Amino acid sequence: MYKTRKYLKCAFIAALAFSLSACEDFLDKQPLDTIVEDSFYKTAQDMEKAMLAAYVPLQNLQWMGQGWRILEIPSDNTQAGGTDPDFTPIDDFSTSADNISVAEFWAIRYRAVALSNVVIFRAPLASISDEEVAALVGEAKFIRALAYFDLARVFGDVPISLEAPSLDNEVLLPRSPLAEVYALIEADLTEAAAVLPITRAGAEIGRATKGAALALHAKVELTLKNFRDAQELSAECMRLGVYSLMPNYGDNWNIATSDNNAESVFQIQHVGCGPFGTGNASQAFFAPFGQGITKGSDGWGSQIPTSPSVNNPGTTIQEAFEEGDLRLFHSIMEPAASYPNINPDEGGYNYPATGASRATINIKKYVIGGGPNTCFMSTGQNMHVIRYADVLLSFVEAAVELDGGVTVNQEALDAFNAIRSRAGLESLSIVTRDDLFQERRVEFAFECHRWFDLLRQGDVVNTMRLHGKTLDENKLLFPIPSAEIKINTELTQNEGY
Amino acid sequence: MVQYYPSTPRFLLVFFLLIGIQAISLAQVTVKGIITDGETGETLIGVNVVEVGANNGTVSDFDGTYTLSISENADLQFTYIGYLSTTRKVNGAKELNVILQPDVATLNEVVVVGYGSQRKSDLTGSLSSVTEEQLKSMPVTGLDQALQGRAAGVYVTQNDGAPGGALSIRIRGIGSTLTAEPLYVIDGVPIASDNQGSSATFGALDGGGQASNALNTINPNDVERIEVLKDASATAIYGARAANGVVLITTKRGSAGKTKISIDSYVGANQVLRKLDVMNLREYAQYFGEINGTQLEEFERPELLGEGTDWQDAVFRTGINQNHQLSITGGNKSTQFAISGGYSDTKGIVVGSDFQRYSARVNLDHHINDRVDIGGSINVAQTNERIVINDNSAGVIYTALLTPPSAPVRNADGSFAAPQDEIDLQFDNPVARALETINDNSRTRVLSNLYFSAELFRGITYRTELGTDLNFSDQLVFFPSTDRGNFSNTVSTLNTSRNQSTFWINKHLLTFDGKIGESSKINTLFGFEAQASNYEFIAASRNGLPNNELTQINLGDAGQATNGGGAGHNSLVSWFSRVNYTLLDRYLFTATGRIDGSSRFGPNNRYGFFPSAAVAWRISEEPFFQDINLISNFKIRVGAGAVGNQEIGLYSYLANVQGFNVVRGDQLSTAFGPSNIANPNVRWESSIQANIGVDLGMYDGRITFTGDIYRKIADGMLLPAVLPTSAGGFQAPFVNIGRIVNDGLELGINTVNSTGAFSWSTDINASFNRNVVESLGSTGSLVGVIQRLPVTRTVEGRAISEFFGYKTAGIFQTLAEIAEAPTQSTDTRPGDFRFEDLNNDGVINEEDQTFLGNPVPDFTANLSNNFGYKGFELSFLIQGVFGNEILNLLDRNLLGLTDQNNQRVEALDRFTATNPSTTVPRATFSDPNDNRRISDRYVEDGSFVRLRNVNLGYQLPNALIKKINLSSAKVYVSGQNLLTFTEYSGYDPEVGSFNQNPLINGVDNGRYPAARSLTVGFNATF
Repeated sequence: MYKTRKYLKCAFIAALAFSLSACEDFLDKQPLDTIVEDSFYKTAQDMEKAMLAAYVPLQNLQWMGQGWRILEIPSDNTQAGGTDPDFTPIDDFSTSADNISVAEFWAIRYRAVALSNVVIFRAPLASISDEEVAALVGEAKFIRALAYFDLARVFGDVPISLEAPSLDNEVLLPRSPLAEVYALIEADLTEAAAVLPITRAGAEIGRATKGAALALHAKVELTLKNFRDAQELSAECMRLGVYSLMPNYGDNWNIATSDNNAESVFQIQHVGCGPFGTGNASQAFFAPFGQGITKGSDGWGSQIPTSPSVNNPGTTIQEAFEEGDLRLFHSIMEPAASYPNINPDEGGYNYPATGASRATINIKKYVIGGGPNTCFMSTGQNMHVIRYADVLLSFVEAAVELDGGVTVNQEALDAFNAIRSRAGLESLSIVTRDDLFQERRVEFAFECHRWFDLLRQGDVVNTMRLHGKTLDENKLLFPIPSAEIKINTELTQNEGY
Repeated sequence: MVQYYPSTPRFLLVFFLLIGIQAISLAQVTVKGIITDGETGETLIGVNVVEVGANNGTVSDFDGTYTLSISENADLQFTYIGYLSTTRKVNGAKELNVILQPDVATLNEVVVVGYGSQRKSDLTGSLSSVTEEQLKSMPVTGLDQALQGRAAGVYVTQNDGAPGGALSIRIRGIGSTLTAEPLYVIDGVPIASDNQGSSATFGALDGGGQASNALNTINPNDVERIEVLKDASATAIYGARAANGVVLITTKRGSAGKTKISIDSYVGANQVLRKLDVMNLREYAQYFGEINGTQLEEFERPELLGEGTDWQDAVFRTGINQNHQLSITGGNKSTQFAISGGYSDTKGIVVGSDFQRYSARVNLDHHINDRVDIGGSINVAQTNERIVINDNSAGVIYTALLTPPSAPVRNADGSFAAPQDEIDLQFDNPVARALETINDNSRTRVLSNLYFSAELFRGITYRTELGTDLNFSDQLVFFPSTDRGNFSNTVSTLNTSRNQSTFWINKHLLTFDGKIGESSKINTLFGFEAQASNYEFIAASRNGLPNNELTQINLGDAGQATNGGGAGHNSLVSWFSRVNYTLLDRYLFTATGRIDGSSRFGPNNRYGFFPSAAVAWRISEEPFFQDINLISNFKIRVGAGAVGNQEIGLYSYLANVQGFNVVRGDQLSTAFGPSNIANPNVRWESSIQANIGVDLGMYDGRITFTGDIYRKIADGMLLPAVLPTSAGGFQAPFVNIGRIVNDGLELGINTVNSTGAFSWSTDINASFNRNVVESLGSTGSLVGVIQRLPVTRTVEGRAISEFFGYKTAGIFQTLAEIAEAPTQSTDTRPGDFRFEDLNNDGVINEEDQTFLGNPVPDFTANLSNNFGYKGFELSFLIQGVFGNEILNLLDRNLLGLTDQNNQRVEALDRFTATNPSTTVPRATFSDPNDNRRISDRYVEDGSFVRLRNVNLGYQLPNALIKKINLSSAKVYVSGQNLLTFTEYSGYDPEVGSFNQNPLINGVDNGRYPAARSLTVGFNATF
């Protein structure tokens, strides 16, 4: 009846007075079965759902599930398994600008940027308290910084998008100088650390915290060689007193103890067997090919640890572990290794004495076997992004660099030796730059840190040449995806592509 | 509602006259007489006889006689549709017999235009009419079929030959990538022409004929005439919905006189036009051995085998259709009515395909007095459609051709059979598929329109109309559980949905008809109109029903039940005006303008203005022309205007949010984020059109010629914006950036070759259209995809929807040839196709694809003739379509030579070591060379000439029928599609567009072909 009256009014006035405005109501037909943007983002619940959306890209396959293609394959820790043209050229530094994995890596991080920007734009307009606004904006900026940190390290200068997606805002953005990108990352993380909670409880567990922002910021400052800042930020994170190393290194790789544990500063949350994009897909790519560990058709051995039988001896990850390093067992499946925790119903898993069908060794991390909550390309194990060990070693790295390449700083030594003793290794009384990067290499093997560690360590071209790869300085950055340049003519390509 | 407040005392005077008293008459005399046809001498029934200058009149009766009391020395005017009216002085006579001459010139024919009617001679725009006579000669199920071949510039193709199947109507070419279908207006009520909204999809299978026909619920027998408005001058009054042309449908109304009861009935038989030659069992057995490597024991002596099963005979049948209608018309001077009820039942030529329609219509007109009229029409119809999946490689017709002749249709126990287990078929027995899979669509539609009209002052008339269109439809799709041979579907699935939509429209029209001085006339229309519609649907699905006989939703597995639904609404508010100005009866000016406010447009562009203007010069009325007796009518028309297409989706301008799966804590949860980026500026697709036409009449209108040239520029075509992924990967907004130009020429010649006892007239029309896509914005190309196979590509500088693929250059005969040729595949062998290396890079890859043909004809021509002799009538219509190509996807499997499916007989000539064929490739199970890729191999000339309709009728002599109390009776026999001349190798060259998609035309993917039909019928009037 109300609608009829509206129409009658419109008809009457319009017919007599030829007035257009009387009909606005009649012509305003909002969708009945979809939610319009302008009617959403109002309440605290709406904003919580919008905030969670920014975590969706992180959980998707293209972020970490396949992120190793960009973050790990170039390094001396791994080689590509199989012949998939989507990532095997990356191993040889012959990546083309058409590479689909590079394009996906770019797109998923910009998606996180866009979804973070939605929260940053919408939160101040919602009917929520100023504190809630600040917390949401800070959390969104953490996600945005995480995305830009990857983009900056992989591509160099990249476009900076600060607006919620809209045709009113410029979408054909040029590349901004790297310094501006890092300035944004630093500002975002400073704001995030100021407002984010120290701990999360209940359903909020796994979302960004103050510690995560501090730890990520420390890593950013190490990259920028602001070692004093890096030291202070990692120290502040350590002083929060909420993190500790798990007693056993293996606790981080056992699904019963790995998720959101005391060592976890920031993890990507996963569930097994959920809808596509919610599970951890690493096992599918890392598990040895043809072994049936996953009890499914996945387990492809797509990324394989470097070993002296294939790569230049003396440069491989298999040799990098010292005698007696407890971490080796949890990082690499070596011939005849026995894993009673994998598929215990089948009596555990024994890696063949002659190696699996396509490799003599395989990655162990994230390989947990088949089980009730494990499906094709989907396990429920969370993905480590920043472990407390990384915070400790950031602190040590800052000390080493500040002290001219070798440190005897007791705090740094304590942190360093805590990690070594957990690995069953003897303590060191001085720590050199090489010691630090060697420790990082084995501590974080296959956790997507090694390539960036090499970049910070410097002299990557020579290191990789010794490892048997041919490359020049231009290959230290990836190409801007060609499809992106085709659409966004403001973009330029990196040198060498 | 508008109210009129009179401000002059004169109104009161008028008012009293209105409720009025009949004029007092003096010196009355009674005159009577017989009215006859000047050509045939037959009496004419229902002629209006009016005393000039008095409110007094009658109509001639059954015997053509009239009786009227008039004042002495009055003049009597006799008018009858289709005849020249005449005025005679009575001069005191008691008897006055009148002979009316048929009006061959049709110059004074009144045609329906937007929101009114006009004398044909006053037209300045371009329109085509299909009259009742033409409609009558075509006993067709669907009204739109009756349009085929009748109007220049109107290209009608049946997308699907199934009874009730949808057609595509292209008026002057394709000017949009969203929809190219015209707007239909039935008795003033616009209805959606785009059938995609009512699409009945078959679960995962999408067939091209799935869209049901928007005009299905209209009984063609109820229709009096159809007008097709073609240029902007004619269509601009429909503004934002006129870009693809407008089709006006007018139903029959009652007229004063004796009540007429008519029965129309016909029965017809339909058959497939032709069968395709596929291998028989002996030939198949040999082929099977070759493709399979090892032979089946029972196939080892092929020469001992018989013909095997003819699967085409199994799926095609002679479909019987019948149509019955009872109509009653009549009335008196103040009230006229037309009531009809119809029943139509068509069994399609493919087993399992049926269509039924029950329809009822009431049209009522009442003159309250000389100035005030009310009336209305209501049409209620129900249609029941059973659809058989086609236009798909898993469709019934397609799989019937592919099923080996070694399999029987049924086993000895009557159950459906499967071929030998060794034969690997990926589809079910086609007859079982047709009969056991259910796709039922039933629809009830109530279409009504009420009007009130009052002459406020002399020449000024106010009219208001209220129309509604209510639709209720149910759909049930059932996939049975089957397990036959290698094909099994262990769990049955049932999907059912209920849809309802309501639409209303309210119009207010003010017209003024008058003279300015002595020499000029003016006719103006001001209108306001508002309309709104909404729809909602619910759908439910269960699977695992206990058997295939009972198909109700409650029987399925409750644990796996799913449901869905949705709703939407839209509205349109419009102001429009038209001014016709005629100076000295020879200079004609028309200007129209319409403002459309649409809920579909963005808030920044909510209102569009659509103007047009046209002038016409009737040179033949010039004084200097009066001496030229040869030419009776000579008119030049020039017009231009801008119209729009508002079918851009309901909410294109809005940004929505959508749910995403997210892991929160350790649980799955739902996050919400944007689903698309909005373009608040989105607006109609505009179409700028210009038309120049000439009308020529010679020998007193016995030869008339109409010619039109036009240009249609579709500008601001809606295409998705192309955004970088750095924008977040959300669905891109539609932006108005595309441009398509259609240029064309239309010619029509109508000749009255003979009148009198033997009458003969001829209609010829021809249309040429050229389509060029000028801009696609940053969207490089648009791809048309059928079953995940890209088949057409639309790029700038070419016509829309051209076929795209590889060019073949014969078949490799030797390994040496392969070694020298560009690399195709490492396993290319003699007998494989040689594809052309168009970019000369030494490799055959996707860069070597090119444009292979245009599915839109260069020109179409139609010829119809009507003969009459002493009650016999003969008419025929020949349709010609020239210069179009067809992509015959049937041959991708039917001559694919890569699997164990049956093949066309041409496969017997396949390349083998002993038969170095240059046209048919080798049989190879794995097809390493990809011989089946889309190439010119499948592109065929789609030109055809078709005897679309022949109708022979006999009007029973009056002397005979009067004895049985009939006023007229006619029997007829009619044939549709009796002859077709074409080079096309498929069933039927008339391949329409796939689901009315403007980007996919002329692709035959196992389309349901048109039928050849023979119909006998009669109509009788009491």
